[in-house]
Amino acid sequence: MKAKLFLGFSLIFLSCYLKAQCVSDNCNSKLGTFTYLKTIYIDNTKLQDKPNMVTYLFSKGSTYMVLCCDQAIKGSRLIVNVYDKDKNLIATNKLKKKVYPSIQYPCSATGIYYIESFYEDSKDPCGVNILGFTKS
Amino acid sequence: MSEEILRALMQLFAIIAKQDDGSGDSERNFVRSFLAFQLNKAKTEEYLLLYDNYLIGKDEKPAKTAEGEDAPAPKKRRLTSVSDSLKTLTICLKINKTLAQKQKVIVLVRLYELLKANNSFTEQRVEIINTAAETFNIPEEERRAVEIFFTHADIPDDIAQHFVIIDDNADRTTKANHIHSEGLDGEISTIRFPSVNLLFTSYTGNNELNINGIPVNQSIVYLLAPGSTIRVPRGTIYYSDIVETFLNKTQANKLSFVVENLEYKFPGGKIGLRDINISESHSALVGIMGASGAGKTTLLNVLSGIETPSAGSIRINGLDVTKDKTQIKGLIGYISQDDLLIEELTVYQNLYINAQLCFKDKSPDELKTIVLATLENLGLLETRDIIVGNALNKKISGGQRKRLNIALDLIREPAILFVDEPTSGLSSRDSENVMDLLKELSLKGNLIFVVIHQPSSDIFKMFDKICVLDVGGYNIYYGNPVEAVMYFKEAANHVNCDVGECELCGNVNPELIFNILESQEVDEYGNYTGNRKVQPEEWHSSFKTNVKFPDFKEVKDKIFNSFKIPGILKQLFVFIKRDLLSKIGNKQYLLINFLEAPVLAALLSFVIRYTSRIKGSEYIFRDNDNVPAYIFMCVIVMLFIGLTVSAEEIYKDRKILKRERFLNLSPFAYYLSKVKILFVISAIQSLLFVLIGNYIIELKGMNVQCWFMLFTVACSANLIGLNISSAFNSAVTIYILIPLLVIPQLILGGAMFTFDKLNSSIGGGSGVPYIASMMPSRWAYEGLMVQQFRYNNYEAPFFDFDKNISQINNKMTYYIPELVQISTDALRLSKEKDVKSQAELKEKLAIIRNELAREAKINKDVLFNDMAYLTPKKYSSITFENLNNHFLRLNRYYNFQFIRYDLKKNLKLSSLVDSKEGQAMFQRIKNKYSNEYLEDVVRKEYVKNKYIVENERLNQQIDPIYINPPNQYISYNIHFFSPNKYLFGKEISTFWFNSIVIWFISLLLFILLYFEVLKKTLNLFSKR
Amino acid sequence: MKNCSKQRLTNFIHFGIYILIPLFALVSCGGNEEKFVEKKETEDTIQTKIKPDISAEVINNIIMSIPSPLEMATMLKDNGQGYDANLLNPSTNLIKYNTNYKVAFNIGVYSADLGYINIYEKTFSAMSYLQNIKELGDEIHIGQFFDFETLKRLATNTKNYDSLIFISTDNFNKMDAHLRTQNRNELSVLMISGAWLEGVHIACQVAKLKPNKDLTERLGFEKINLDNILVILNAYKNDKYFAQIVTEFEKLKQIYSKIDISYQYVEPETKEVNGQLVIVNKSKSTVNITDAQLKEIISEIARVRDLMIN
Repeated sequence: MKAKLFLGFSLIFLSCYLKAQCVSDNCNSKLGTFTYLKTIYIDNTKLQDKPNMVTYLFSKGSTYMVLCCDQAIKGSRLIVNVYDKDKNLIATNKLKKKVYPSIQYPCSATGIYYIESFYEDSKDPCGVNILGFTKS
Repeated sequence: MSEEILRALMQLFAIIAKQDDGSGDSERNFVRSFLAFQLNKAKTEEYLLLYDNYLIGKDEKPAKTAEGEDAPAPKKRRLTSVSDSLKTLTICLKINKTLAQKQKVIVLVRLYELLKANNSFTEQRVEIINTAAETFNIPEEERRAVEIFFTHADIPDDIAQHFVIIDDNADRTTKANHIHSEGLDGEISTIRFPSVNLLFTSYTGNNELNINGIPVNQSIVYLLAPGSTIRVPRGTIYYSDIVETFLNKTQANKLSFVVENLEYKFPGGKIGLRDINISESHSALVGIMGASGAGKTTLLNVLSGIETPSAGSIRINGLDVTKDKTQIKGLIGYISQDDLLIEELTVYQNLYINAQLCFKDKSPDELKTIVLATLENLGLLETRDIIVGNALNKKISGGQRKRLNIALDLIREPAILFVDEPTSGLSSRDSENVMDLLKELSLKGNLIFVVIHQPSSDIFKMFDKICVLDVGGYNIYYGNPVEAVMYFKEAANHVNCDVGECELCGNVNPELIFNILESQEVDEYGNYTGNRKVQPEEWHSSFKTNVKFPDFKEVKDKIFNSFKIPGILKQLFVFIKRDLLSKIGNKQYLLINFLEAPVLAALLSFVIRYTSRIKGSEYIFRDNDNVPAYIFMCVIVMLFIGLTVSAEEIYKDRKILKRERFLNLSPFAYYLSKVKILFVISAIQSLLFVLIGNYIIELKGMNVQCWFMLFTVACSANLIGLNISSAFNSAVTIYILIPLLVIPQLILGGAMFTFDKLNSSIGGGSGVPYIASMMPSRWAYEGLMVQQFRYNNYEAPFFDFDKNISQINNKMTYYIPELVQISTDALRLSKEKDVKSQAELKEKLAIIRNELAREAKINKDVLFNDMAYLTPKKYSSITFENLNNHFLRLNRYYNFQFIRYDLKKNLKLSSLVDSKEGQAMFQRIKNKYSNEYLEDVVRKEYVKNKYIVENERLNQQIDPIYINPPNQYISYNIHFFSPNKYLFGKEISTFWFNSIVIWFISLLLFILLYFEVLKKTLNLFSKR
Repeated sequence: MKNCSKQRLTNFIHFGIYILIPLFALVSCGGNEEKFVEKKETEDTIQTKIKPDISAEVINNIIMSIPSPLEMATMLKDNGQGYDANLLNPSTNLIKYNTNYKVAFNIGVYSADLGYINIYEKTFSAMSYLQNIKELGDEIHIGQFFDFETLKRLATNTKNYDSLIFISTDNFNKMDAHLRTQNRNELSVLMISGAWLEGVHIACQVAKLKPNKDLTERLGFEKINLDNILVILNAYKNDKYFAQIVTEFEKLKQIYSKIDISYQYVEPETKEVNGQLVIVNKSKSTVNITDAQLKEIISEIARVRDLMIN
């Protein structure tokens, strides 16, 4: 447990430090009319094979945007999936082999949702998810 | 004459008058004229009535009826005589109790005068007078003398020394002292009472004489006061002339004063005096005369030792005046032309305090006697309790001021006295008075040099010798005054040059000399050309060839010098008393000085008592933005006050110092006295300031510390002020200097401009510039700020926690990430091979090495083991990774520490605020005792770069108040706002360390003051 | 007369004794001073940090799941409610927050207030509340994310609301994350709890004045968040402060326990619109909440909130 704590801490430490290097600042602007909510850092080390999983409560009446900010290099795209509280897949940004930069989800059912992110290919991955919302 | 004497006299007159034949008209007339001589009409009548009453009251028969009757029975006479004797005795006994000896003598003389009025020196009357004289304890000799004086009997030899006869007779019939007065008809006889040192004189003859300006009445016996003059046909007879004959001529000291080939050059190089030769023995009054600019005052200054001659020597009994100063100390006195009096003191006090400094072993009563005697001699007794005042605000007349000036030096009767124009500005009567005094002093054995300008004929003749100077410092005559006139007349080919003084009137015209000297050439039209006929050099050479000096035997006896000045401690005491009295006397001074501080404090704190209206209308100390500025302004204000109070101190005294330099008083005592008084003033001022300022602005809990620091600062300002005061010669210069001394302290105090934002040649960076460390303001400000932050009731319990927590947080948040950045940069640079990159790499690795070493000193738990790899050659990505791991471990270590301290602090905090009251009290204390803006300042809240690279180190800029200084012997050069410092290896609070520094600076300033360094440096510059 | 000078001297000395010394005493005594009365430290109060009952990972996940108060504020605004500054926690309460816990909780409270202010674009108040948050943040050493330069820039650039929102939110997130990297998760928990409570409270007060269906429903759905928050608060219930909050929130939970939430899943459709992926959601969730229950919730929330911010 302590080791995990230490590692987790260290990774975040490093990743926070490293973030500046790969993600451009104008990624936020891609939100457009959506209001910024949070940045989801994807901790990607070779030790963890599990995709990054974050929970959030989506509320009825709002539309949420999950934005992928990555290096846009083929083969290193960031994939994001959204599941409901029962782990039903609600949305994904990869449709028919095309990777979209964002998902828009107008919520009609308030509840906990899971946002899962991973890389297509683990070669030098680097990126974050940005979450935004607006009124439906 | 006092009322008491008059009453006694009336009684005695009455008794005497009714002896024998009873009182007659002649007696009554005598009494009336006697009274009229000194009183106004009303009082005359009053006392006359008293006399009548006494006559009537004691007689069975009214005096007037005595005429018709024949001589009453002798038996009756004797009876009345006896009872009258008793009455006389009673009165005399009463008189003994109330009158002083002098007054009794006067009474006696007046009694005799009564007899003389009627010329009835009957047995009974004389007997009564004798009774009186005996009762008065008048010595027998004097009693006999006075009787003879009045009866004009022959003077027996044994009491002849008490008489002086002035007449035109060359033959002497008695052994009495004699003064020859040409052309005097009859004689003036004078009697002296040695026991009380009184002289009485009367005249019998046909001339019309004046005594003190009043026509002489032959039936009156005059009391001859010092300075009196008697106008005789051929001139004037002075009191001192008469006294001279009475005085004993044995001299304890044999003195010789020799000036040989004296030359003096001014600082600019111009020659002020050339080839002066003077030789004098004791008992002489020498006049120094000359045209304006001839060099009279210069000569005086050189002779007295104030200036050093450039050639030649001045010797007193073989001792050189400039070289052997210690041995001749106390022998020389110098009375300057300006009056050197202390304005706020009375005449008596001025003289008394001066006396205290001149005489070592005299008791206060003895001193009082001497002072009173001196005052009396100079005719200042009546004015003794009047405040001297200054030239603009005179309380005593100019003549009296001058006389007091002379009294100050006269009191110790220096063997050689130099007087600069004692008569300037005085009336002719006052002038004569003064010169008479000096003459008397010279008769007693002193050698006196007097610079005199346009003397009257009488004064001119008083001099034993005169020394005449011409423009350029040439000595053109040295010898007897009257002969001088003759010499010049001859040189100028005047008519009757063998006549010195006027035959008829005895007048000499000294102006003649100068007219001759300065006579100008006349052109063909008869106009004056403005060129002198004869140049000074010509006069000088003429003098040298024509006038011969008598042989002078220089005496080299050791001088008995009774001059002893009191010890340093006593001097100190006297200086303090003098200063204190003078200051207390000046109400304006007191008022301004003691109001200055509180008024300024009130102004300052009132104006900046800011209430931020966001949080309500109540004043909250915590939210007052201006508190750091207030603290700084307090320091600056006290600096100003301290400087202005002291700036004029020594300058004010400069005249007095000039005079006292001949006393060789201890400069240490003098300076110390000044310092002590100023310190007391500073203490009071800072007290008032702190009380009012801190009260209004509600700075709590720090009053004593504030007072002490401001007092310290004011004292150092006092010493700066004293230094300027002693060095500069005009008040204006001194005051102009004050901004020059205060503004740098304002700039470099550390408040207006922070030290890290200065010109890089002065400062910048994390240390304090050296120049700022010379400013007391910097130390005071830092001391107060740190003290307030650290020890206020809010922060004090938590300071150590806050310190540790902040430091750890800073390490984690700024320090370590910065190091990580540097190591990453190093990695990048290590891959580049150009020279610039390699140099940068070297620097960066040096920083890392130094910082790891520094860290290792304080933190032994997390160490880096691969220090050897931190060189440009060996630095690789592996090293980088190791380094980063180390940093991570370090970070984790600090995180752990952080949590620990944080927990402790919060536990303590929780325990204090666990109740509603606790919570409320916490807020109150926070609001009342701490100030947010002060915290921001000492924590450098807004500094941009929290750590900066300096000299291959990474130095912390943020939170200076939390940085522990390195353990040094003396922390003289550590960062600003350090929480504590080290002195001699021991930890000491910043406040005390800084106070000690300022006191140290003050001590240095005192040493500078004592050695007059500033003054000497300035003189050095002016000489160039 | 010599007496005159002696008299003056004695006067002076008397002045010194009778006036100056009492003044001096006044100076040093300092009147009625207030000081902290410190309790003696006993050995057994040696502190160990509270260990949470559940794993840090779980705590983190829950924290991340609580929605930002911005959402609630936006909803209020979009529903036509006006800005009401009285709903917010006033700045004057700032001085009351002294312990870590109080500070952390109220950072959350002020952050929620800030979100509300930002949505209504009240820049002046935004600056003031940002200042409050910074002050509180400095107290627990997480204020460094507040770039003073940025603040200055913001102060002058009043029209940049998006920027303001971004900075406010980003800052909050950073502070929160930092706490967790520093093993101070308990403070993070408090922050989130405070933010949540304040957000709900504002909504409640608006609902009180101007009830509407959407708002009521939203407040009902807050049950989910409450449950989650209680989980993380309970993790630290060994601590007195946390225990106290838990007690209060439990009362709230009681009220909410009578409210049911139902969820119905329908498979969604994914569409491409203008190069963006848009999901068409058909799932539904409902909450049944009566007016009486709403009233209870409103008053309870108000009571707890009042307790926490004072």
